Amino acid sequence: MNTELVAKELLHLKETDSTNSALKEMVAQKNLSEGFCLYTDYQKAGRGQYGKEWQSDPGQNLLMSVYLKPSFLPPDQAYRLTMSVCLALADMGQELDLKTQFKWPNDWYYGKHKLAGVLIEASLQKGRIQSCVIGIGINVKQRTFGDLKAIGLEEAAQRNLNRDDVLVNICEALDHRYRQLKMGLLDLQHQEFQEMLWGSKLSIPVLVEGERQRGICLGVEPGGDLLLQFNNGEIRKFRHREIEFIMD
Amino acid sequence: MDLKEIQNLIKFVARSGAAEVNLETEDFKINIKTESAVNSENTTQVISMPQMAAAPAAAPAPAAAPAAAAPEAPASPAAPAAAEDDSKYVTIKSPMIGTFYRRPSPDKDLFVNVGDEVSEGTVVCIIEAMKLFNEIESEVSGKIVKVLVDDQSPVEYDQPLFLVDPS
Repeated sequence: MNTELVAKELLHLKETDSTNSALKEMVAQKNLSEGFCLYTDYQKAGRGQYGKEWQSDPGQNLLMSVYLKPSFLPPDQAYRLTMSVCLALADMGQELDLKTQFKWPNDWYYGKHKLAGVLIEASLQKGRIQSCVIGIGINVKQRTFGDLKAIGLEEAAQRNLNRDDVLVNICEALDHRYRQLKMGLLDLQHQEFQEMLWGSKLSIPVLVEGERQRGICLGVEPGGDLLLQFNNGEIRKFRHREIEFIMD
Repeated sequence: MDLKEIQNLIKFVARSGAAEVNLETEDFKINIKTESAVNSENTTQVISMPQMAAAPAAAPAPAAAPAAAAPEAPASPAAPAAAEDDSKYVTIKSPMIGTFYRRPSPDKDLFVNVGDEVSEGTVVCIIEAMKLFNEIESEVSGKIVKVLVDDQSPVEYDQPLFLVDPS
């Protein structure tokens, strides 16, 4: 693997409750070096956002967590890290000739189907970010998702993929994007991220205060707020959960 | 202000490391000058962090750096009262705008409760901002005396979340 930081140390677990929880436990017990990466074949209790479950069939997908220390980021700009991780996913998609988009605030989509989700957990002390555990769940070989509008990378790219190759690709992409972030190429990443936002080119249906409306995503603020312009011209700023995208 | 309150104020000023405090209200005027005023007359240390003075909650924290008890703080009428009640407590504040969570997930136990002992590095809550989950660690050792925000409610930057008794 050709990286400077990410996955210089790599641990594979046959199964675990959740890669983020397992990695956080390791962080609490010993001094892990930055970039440490853990992945598993199966999460018994995969977690999405705050208690939501994340389902994945055994051995089909890439479920991983990476340990980083972005203490250079002010906590109110931690969303920049989400942007970097999303861009790394998109870089990997590009290698497979996939045109992908981000559904604000932190999902990776192919068309209207979800390819991957990101769950970042940061640890703060004295108002500074000490460390982060970045959980990434990428659908790779899974073909059926029940009621979920999701798709595997393999099906989207229409070619056979090896999960370990996907691991190498995402680690290399993340390594590159994280280095950019560290170097301060903030505007560049911000710009790229905004251009790939779901709803940035075409007006999309959204649910705001229970009402269905349409609008265009103008962009995001460094703190993560979404700027949306409704079809009547009105521009509004949204925080997470104040707006829902209708993906039908 | 009675004698006891004045005594408390003097004690508080002495412990805070502030060099000098001038307090004036409708009925009285008080000027407290500490030894450090004499010792540090040549330095500008005390006025180096004026933005801390704007937040009344910052003043009552004796464990904070000496500069935290900036001389402007007592100018606000709320400050003397706050100094009395909470002067010995340390405030844990939110480093960002977000949603305050007292549990790691809905089915789990609270991180901390009133009366719990915490040490430096103990996770006391999560602030979620844009689906990014920030575990907030205590920066002091002590006992939780007050939880100032309801579970799952929105918080602002610098909003006090917990009071910790470091003694």
